[in-house]
Amino acid sequence: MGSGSEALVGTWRLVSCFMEDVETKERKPVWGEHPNGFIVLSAGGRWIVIQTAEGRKAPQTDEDRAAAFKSMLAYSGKYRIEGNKIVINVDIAGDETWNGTEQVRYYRIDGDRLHIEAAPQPYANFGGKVMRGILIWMRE
Amino acid sequence: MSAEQLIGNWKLVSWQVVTGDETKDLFGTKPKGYMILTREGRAMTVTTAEARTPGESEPERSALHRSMLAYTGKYRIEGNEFITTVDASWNEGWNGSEQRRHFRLDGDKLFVESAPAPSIVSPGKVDFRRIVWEREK
Repeated sequence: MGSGSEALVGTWRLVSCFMEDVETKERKPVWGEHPNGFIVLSAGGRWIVIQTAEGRKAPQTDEDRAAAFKSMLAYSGKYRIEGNKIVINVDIAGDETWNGTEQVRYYRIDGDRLHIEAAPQPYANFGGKVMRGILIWMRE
Repeated sequence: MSAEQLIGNWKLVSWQVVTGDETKDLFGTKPKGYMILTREGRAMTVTTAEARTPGESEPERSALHRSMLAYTGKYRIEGNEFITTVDASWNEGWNGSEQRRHFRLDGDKLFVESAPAPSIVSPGKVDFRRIVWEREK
């Protein structure tokens, strides 16, 4: 692991999240103005993230549960640092299709802020569109 | 028991619901799960059932939501219990709740039990969850 990994270890709280349509370059706060989320990067090399959209409800029906599932992201895996990239080998995910994938995140730390850009990929929750996540996290 | 011994990465071994003499693997015999307990006091876990099917229809998404758990929060230790105050969760209904778990460490294994409560799985009965973790290598 590179020397950068030490600065990443800890807990980060989500500040903002925009999704950019790679084709049109249009950016939208698809998780709302006040999304909720945390990343933990452990000293032992594991990443876990849980992210949820603004305004979710406690689910009662199947319809609610489907909506709840659509408005969240949760996955974990061992991570490694390669230059300005965090590479996560996903071994568990809310979205089963992420299992076994390598998630690549470009990162930059600026004071207590962690800027993350995801490599473009299709998102089932956005109709299969190729999107790029642009996120800001704050050290907890 | 000190918090120090709980800090680190844990991998799920089993996830069971215990009702009287009956023990049920609610997420299958080979569920997946990871939990991190940080030194600074945050707990975070993702657990998924065995053999989940990806899908984008409403029933498929609902089934995916039912067959997982994901939540995080600050935790504190009180004797042999650790209590997580949930601030983000796959199920919005858990946000703001205190998840209280009895724990026991035995070597590399962490045995966790929830308090007995009226069963959702078996109405009219009382059950509790028994979750076993092992320290991730």
